[in-house]
Amino acid sequence: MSKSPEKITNREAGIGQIVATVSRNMTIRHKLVFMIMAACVVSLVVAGAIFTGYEWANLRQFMVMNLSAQAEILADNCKAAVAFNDSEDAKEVLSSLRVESSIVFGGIYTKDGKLMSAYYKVGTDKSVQPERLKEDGYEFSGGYVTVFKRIILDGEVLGTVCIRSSLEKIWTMLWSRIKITFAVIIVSLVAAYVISSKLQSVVSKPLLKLAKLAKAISDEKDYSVRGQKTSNDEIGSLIDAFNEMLNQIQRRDKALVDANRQLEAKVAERTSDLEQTIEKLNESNKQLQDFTYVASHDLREPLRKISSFGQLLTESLGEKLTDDDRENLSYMIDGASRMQQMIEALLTYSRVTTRGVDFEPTDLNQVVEGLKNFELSVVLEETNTKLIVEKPLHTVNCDSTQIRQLLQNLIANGLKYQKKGVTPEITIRSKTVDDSMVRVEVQDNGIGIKEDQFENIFVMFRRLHSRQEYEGTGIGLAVCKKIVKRHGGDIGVSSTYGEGSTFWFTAPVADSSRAAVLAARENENEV
Amino acid sequence: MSRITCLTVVFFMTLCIQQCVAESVSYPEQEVKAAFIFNFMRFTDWPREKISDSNQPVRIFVIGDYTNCKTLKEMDKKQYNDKDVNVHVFKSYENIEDPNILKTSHVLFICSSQKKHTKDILKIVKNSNVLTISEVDNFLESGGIINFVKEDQKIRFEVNRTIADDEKLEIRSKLLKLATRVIIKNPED
Repeated sequence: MSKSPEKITNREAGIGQIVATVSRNMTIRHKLVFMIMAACVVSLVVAGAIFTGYEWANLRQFMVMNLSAQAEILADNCKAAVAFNDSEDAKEVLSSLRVESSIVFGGIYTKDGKLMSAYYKVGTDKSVQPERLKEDGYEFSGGYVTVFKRIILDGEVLGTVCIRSSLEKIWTMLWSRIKITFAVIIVSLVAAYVISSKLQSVVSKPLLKLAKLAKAISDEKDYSVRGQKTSNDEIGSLIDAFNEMLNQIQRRDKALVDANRQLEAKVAERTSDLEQTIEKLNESNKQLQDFTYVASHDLREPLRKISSFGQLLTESLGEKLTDDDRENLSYMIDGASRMQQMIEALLTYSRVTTRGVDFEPTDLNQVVEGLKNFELSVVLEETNTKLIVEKPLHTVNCDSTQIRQLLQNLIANGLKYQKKGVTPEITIRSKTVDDSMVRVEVQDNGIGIKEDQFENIFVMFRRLHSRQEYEGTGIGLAVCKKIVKRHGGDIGVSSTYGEGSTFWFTAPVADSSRAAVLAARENENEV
Repeated sequence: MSRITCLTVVFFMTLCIQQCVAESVSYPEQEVKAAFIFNFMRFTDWPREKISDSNQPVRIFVIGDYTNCKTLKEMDKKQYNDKDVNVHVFKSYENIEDPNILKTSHVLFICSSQKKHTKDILKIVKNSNVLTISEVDNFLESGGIINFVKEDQKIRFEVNRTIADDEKLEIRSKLLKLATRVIIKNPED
C-alpha cells in the first residue's frame, strides 16, 4: 500500500516522458495543437465512457423496473388462479406477456416451487426458463434479466411469478447510444482541432516572432531591433527580458567598440613611438659601431708605439736600468700589448658586421687544413696537440674569412683551457641537421665547464677564470656567436666538468654539399 | 407351487397399492376443498354490519364428516382481515342443537352427506349474509351460492351471483372468472 503513491508518480513521469519523446521534433505550433487534442481526446473518451456506463446502468435499471411492474401486475392478476390452482386461467394471464417482444419466458410457480403455468416466446423452448427460483428480486445472467415476484394473498404467499427478458433490446439501445457518443466525440474533436489550430497562435505567434528576431539578431549582429510586446503574460515578460538583454548587449557592444577604437589609437601611438625609438637605437648603434671601429683602429697606432718604443727603451738602456725599473717597464709593455690584443679582438668583433662579405661555398676541410698549417701551427706544435678531423667535413655556404675565424677561435679556446700535464686532443666533426643546416662540433679533453655557465661564456668580457689562471680577452666566444648569428645558425656547448667540452655551431649547407647529402639519403632509402 | 405363491403375493400387493391410491385420492379432495373454502372467503366481501364487531371471529361452519380435515384445523389458527378465524365442524345436521346458530356464521359448507338437509339449512340462513357452499348437484338452483363440481378429474366450482347479491355478498370478478358456471339475475326480470 505505501508504495502506490510512488508508483503513480513514476507513471506520471512515464507519461510525461512519452509525450516529451513524441513531441521532441515538433514545432511549438504542432506541439500546442497536439497537447490540446490529446487532452480533448482523453477527456472526451473518459466522458463518453462514463456516459455510456451510466446509460448502461440506467437502461438495466429501467428494464428491471419495467419488468418488476409487469411481474407485479401478473402476480395480482393470477392470485385467484393460483389460489384455486387453475392453470388454464394462469396461462391466460401469462399470455398477456406476448405483447412485449423481448420477454422470452413467463412462469407462475406454486408455493412449493412447481411450475404451474408458463409462457414461452414463439421460437423459444423450455431451455430459456430459469434453473432456480428466487424470492422477490432480479438477476442478470446468461444474457437475460430475470425478475421474481411473490404472489401474496392476504399476507399468505401463494407462489411466485417469474419473467425473463432477453437483453438484446438494451444492447441495441446501448449500441445506438455508443454510436451517437462516438459521432459526438468525432464532431467535437474536429471542432476542437479547428479551434485549437486557430487559438494556438495566441501562444505560438509571439514565441515564433521572438525566435525569428533572435535568429535575425544573431545573424546580422544588429542589436538595435526590439521585440514587440503584445500580452502581459509570461511571454510578455520574456519579450521584456529579451529587450532588456538586447539593451545591455547594445550598451556593451558600444562600449566594446569604443574601447577597441581607443586601444587601436593607443597601439598606433605606441607603434610610432617604438618606431622612433628603434630608429634612434639603430642610429646610436651605428654610431657606436663606427665609434668602436674608429676608436680601436685609431688606438692601435699609439699603443704599438708605446709597446715597441718601450721594448727599444728596455734594450737601449740595458744595464742602466735597475731591476725595479726593468720590472715596471715590462708591466707597461705587457699592459700595452694586452690592450692591443683587446683592441684587435674588439676590431674583429665589430668587423663581423661591418666587413662581412657575401656567402660562398667553403670547404671546411681546407679551412681546418689552413689553420693547422698557418694560424695555429705554432701553438699546435708547442702544446703537442693532436688535431683529429673525423671523416671529411661538409662544405658550408658562408663568409669564408669569418668561418675561418670562428673555427680558429673554437680550436684555440679548446687548447687554452687545458688540464696541466695532459696532451691536448681536439676532435672536429660535422653532420647534417636537416636539409639546410650542418652542425659542426669541436670537442676537447680540457677542464670542462659547469652546466650553469653554458650561457654565460658567450657574453662579451664574461670570464670564468682569472687572468692569472688562463689568459684571454673575454671577447673570442662573443665573436663566435656573432659570426654564427650572422649565418643564421646557433651556437652552444655541452660539457662534463673536468672531462672536456664540445662546442658546436650550425651553418647553412652549401648547395653542392646538399645535393650530395640528398643523393646519399636517396641511396640509403633505395638500399 | 412357488409360482402360485408369487402370483398371490403380487395380487395382494396390487390390491393394497390400489387401496392406498384410492384413499390418497379421496383424502386430498377434502383438503383441496377446504383450501378452496378459505380462498372463496378471500375473494368475497361481507356487508359491514356482518363483520363490524371486531371482537367477533370470522366463523366457518362445516356440516358433515370433515372432522379429520387437516386444512380446516390449520385454518382455525389463521387470521382473516385481522380477525381470528373460527372453524367449527358439525358431524351432521342432526347434531346441531340449535340450528339458528348457523345464522351467525360467515361461511357455511354443507357436505354431500347432508344433501337431504340442504333446503332446511338454506332456509335457516337466508338473509343472514352467509356464504353457502356445497358439493351436491343443483345446489345453486336450491338457493346456494357456490357449489363444487368435478371437471376432468379436477375440482372446479360454480357460482350463483343472484343469491350472493340477495345476501349482500360481493364476490370478486377474479373468482367469478374462474367459475365454470355463473348464474346471474336477468336485469329484465
